[in-house]
Amino acid sequence: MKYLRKLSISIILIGIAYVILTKLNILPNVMGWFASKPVLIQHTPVVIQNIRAMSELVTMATYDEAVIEFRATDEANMMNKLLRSNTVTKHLVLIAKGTVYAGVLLQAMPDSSIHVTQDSIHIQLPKATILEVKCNPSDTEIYIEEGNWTTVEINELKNKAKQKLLDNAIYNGILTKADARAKQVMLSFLLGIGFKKVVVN
Amino acid sequence: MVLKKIFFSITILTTLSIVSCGKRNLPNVSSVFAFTQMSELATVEYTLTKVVKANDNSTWYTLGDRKIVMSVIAYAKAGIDLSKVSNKINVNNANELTIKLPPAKLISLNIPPDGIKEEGTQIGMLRKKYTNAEKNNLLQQAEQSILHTIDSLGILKKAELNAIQFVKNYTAQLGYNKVNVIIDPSIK
Repeated sequence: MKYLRKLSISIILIGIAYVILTKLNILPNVMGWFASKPVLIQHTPVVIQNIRAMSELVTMATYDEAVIEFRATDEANMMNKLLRSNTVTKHLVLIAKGTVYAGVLLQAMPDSSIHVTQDSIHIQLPKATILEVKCNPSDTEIYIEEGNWTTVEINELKNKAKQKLLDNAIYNGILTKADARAKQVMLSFLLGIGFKKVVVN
Repeated sequence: MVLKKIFFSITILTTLSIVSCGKRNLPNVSSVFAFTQMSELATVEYTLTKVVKANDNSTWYTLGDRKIVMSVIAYAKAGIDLSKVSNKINVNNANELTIKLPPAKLISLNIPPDGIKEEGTQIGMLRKKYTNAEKNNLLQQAEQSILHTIDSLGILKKAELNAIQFVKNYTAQLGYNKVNVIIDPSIK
């Protein structure tokens, strides 16, 4: 009995000492030997497919988050296939952060939109449009993933999230703000190059 | 009496834990909507492609391959900040102009979901398929890799050349005959 008591106390003390020493990085952590290594991508080149010259004046951006939840029948599930039923469902929750850019396409400006008389100028800017909705892999997080989801299905959900971000940006008046900002930027640019009177519409 | 209280407490805690385990709530996303004013003139867009390859075989106790190949299309836009131009304009005489532009910068890197394709996988019998969260992690690495190599693709140089051309054409349209446009690296 006394021997067992001594043995258990020794084991507990050794255990505590091991935990402290691994925390202090003096002893290697045995649990780390069984931890899975992170999967890293192999080096591959980035290839240029196309180069396009443009003149887009980006004047406003919105940053926003959207949560997309989706449930559907898991058609790839073995039980569903065997029983020819749709009892087993799949569930996915995607959190997407994204940026919506709006501005003016200056390349769409015809020559007739600029009128110069001595030191005064009148410019008719095109209406602001949505230039880009950015929702990259680093902006998305798959929060819940249950069942079999293909890459195509995930891409469809990401597109839904992008649409949600775009709708919210338009609802909050990104285009009106982009228009106002474009006028402001052009005004300061034209005053800066020496025009005394500038009218931007 | 004490035993009765303990019994009730245990019953309530057990019931609560069972109920809470059965349902997962959606993440509570706080409203982060924010506007940012910009004045960037995008002058070039590069369409880029990258093959994303990975093999999960670094863990010593796993048996069999777990390979995946995806392809990615990315769009990179670069240009100059137009708000930093106006302060650097020197009008020498009536029709001669010197404009200093800031150095070009990357405005956006966009990887649209439609541009991501899973080209193939090879999963050993004892291994599990890649989850979409794992695939997203690989795509995040690819995104970082594109961002790191973008300078070497010459996009900034091209954006500066296009910006100079744009400003020259634009000022000529406004009636200036002699326009000298230069990139000033000291403009931050």
